[in-house]
Amino acid sequence: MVAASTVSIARAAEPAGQHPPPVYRRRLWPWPGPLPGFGLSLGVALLWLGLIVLLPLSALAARPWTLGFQGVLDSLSDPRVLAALRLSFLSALAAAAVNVPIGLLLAWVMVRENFPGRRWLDAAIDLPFALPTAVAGLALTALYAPNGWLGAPLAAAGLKVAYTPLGIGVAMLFVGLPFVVRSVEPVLRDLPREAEEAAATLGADGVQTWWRVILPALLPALLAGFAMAFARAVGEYGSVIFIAGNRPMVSEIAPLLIVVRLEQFDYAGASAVGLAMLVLAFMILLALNLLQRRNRG
Amino acid sequence: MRRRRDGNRFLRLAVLLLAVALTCIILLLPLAAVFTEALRRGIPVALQALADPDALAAIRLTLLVAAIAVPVNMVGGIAAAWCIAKFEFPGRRFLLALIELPFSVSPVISGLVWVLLFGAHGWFGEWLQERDIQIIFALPGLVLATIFVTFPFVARTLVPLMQEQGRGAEEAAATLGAGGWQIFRRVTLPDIRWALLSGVLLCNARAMGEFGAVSVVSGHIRGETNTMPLHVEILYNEYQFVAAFAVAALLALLALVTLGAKALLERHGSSRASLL
Amino acid sequence: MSVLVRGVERRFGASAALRAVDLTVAAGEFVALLGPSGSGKTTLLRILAGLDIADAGTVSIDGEEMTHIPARLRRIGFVFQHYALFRHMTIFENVAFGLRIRRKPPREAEIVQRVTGLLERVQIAELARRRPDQISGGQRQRAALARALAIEPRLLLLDEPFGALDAEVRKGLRRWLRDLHRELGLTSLFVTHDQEEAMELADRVAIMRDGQIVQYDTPEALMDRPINAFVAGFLGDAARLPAEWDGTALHFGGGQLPPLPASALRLAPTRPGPAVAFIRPHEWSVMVQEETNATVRSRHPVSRGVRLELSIGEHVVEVELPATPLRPGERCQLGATAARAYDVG
Repeated sequence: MVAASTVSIARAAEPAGQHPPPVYRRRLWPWPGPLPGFGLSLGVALLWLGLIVLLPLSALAARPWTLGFQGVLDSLSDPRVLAALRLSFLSALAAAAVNVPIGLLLAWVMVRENFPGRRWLDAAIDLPFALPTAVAGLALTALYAPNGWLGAPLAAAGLKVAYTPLGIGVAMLFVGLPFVVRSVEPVLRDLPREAEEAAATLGADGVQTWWRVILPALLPALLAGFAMAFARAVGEYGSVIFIAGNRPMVSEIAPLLIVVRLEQFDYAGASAVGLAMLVLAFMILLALNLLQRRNRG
Repeated sequence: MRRRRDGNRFLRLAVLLLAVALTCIILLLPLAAVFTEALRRGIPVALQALADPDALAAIRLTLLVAAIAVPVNMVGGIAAAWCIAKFEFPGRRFLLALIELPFSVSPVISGLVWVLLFGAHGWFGEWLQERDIQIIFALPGLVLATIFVTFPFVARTLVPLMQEQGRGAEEAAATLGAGGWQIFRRVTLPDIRWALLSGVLLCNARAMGEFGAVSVVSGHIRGETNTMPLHVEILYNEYQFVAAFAVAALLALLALVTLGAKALLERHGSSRASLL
Repeated sequence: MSVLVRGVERRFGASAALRAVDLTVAAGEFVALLGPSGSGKTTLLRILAGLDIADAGTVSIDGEEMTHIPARLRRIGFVFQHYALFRHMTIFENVAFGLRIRRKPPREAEIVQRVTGLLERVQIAELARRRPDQISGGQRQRAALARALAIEPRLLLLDEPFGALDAEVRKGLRRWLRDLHRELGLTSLFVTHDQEEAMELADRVAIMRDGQIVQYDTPEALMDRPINAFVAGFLGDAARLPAEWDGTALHFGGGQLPPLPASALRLAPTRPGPAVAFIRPHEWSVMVQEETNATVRSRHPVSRGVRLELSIGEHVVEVELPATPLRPGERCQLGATAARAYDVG
């Protein structure tokens, strides 16, 4: 019997139809493939990810607990924290929700219509993503301030946007819009026209086709876009900080509270809020993911 | 049926106009506002704001940080994309999820984590103080925060493209006798170069424009640890609006150039590198 | 240039792609691996090339054991199903690749000479400056072949070389490949699921099923003496009928078909009992007479004559005849003139 970890050598005079029992090579690791460079690339990737992602995030996960479990609860149940978290999360959800129909509209126009300047519209949609957040924040403030291009007419109508929670929503709307559009576009592009034509031959009118054929097909992408817009908005800092009033309990977003606590050297408190944000966001995203999967199936 | 067709066309036109109007109001007006405010007192005043020594220092610092962060992320991104796209191994999906992480994390948290590691009361705080090494409130901190925030860009652009391209060409090269570097240089790289360039451009744009993460680790020391976005904030808080918008306009120009270059690259390469 | 495969096994997760496979290929032979999808043929080919590693067993080429040698060092030419040409290189550069990346590449003039010679041999010399996306599927296939031949391999492996091409191109390339093999004398293995292709091209064919080689023989021997019911059903377009063997004659189920004496059987079951019979389209006799047992369901012309689809009892069989007046709906007397029968159970 040959030992299990060695290789058997071909025996020339083996009678036809019989061969020795299989000698299994012990494999610690499933074979990754015939291409070279696995070890090096995986090593570099793990080193890079380990140092840049895992190490810092583990510091975040560990730090709050220096206060002890009760300490963390106390830190988080501070009314200012709760107000900030509530503001950040509700505004982000609302902004993402408003982004859904707008994003859908833009995606529809981009895919289904051919018009002069379509490429400019395409580039414009990417603007919130490419524009530095501080620039966006500054610009939105200038626009919606009581003497701004949009702020003035709105103020005349009795609506104050800048320095209020509404301004926060507007900023979050701005940063989240591309996510919905880019999420829906490829799905819309791949949507077979024949499905709509089939619906027409079966007697459906425009609204019915939209409601029963097109929208359900787009729902997973819409949910995904909503989730991404929400995730981006809830943690957004630069775009929001200029247009928000930043008044504690009223218009102070959670990221700002983290900065405030850091400046007070309350590392544990700051990381408690940070961890709470991550956990809450993760749960919401997980729920959305499950919803999306159920929809797809 | 002519009435229906005309009604349809009218509806489509209305939808199109609504889309354009929304785009203008939500997306384009802010951009216009930046340039308008920057040039409110004329071009000379705006340029003077940019020539201010603190502003110049901020510009220099921004360029330096990007010059370090982008190549690091490029190498890491290529390595990650190579092993994810060309091999099968357990934990592949976990690696992919890890790469996506900074996108779901607030920029403030992206800066916070470095303070927790290297700040005065951080894990390595004492160790660093003993050796008189300054990371937070200095260049290394800025670089680390920027790296964290921008590292997905290159990998995210490359992974789907390389997965779509498959392993066939690389396997063929292996049967023809090529070694690892030869395969990468001669077979893979030419196929991904436009996407790579696109990813690097996006990585750079974000690196230069990052605000939240850098704000936390910076210390806001004028002339030393202020990048351009931070300088904008300082100017704004000091009510120097024109100067603030002037620097902001410069950053906006960077964004426009990035978008334009990306559009050009897309026309060149066949597949679309999504910003998302 | 001979190939020896012994006891090769390969599992993917819970399923076994290859089970205890033995294969011997003599120098200069052209062997086909034929079987339905999932039979393990491509896995075996890739293991031979070094693009995959077996879980057990050995692979030797010319007596040298190759099991652990990476693909790069094996000097085996591999032609992929979808060509895997380098998109961004011209055809010339594609073919020259294997020469350029050598540690000591030959002089430029020699490279040009070798590559041009190869391109001429595969008859695409005029496409040297084109890119892969600018030429047709058949031309790409020939370019892929030239590229594999450029490294002067001692073994040539082809994975469904004509699978992605349409019928006309496929037939022409088939003929051309056979001629090329005759000219080069290079030991070659190719994978296919098209039995006509395997029969036409190969010196020997290995029929694979569920990760094992069921029968390995010349095309003539395979067609004449399929080793079991699976092979008999897989080759030759035969009708499959349940039957009973009593030692002297084969009685068909249903009783409509007259029994077949042992003398008419090309292959007989080993023991009396239930059996399965395979009858090829030309192994039937069809007579127009008073007593009938079958109805014509359809008829269509083929290059050799006429093909009839007949229903007899609950079975449907296909019969090929040089000519016949029978039309759909009419009845006739059907009888088998030959069959191959195997034990069942």
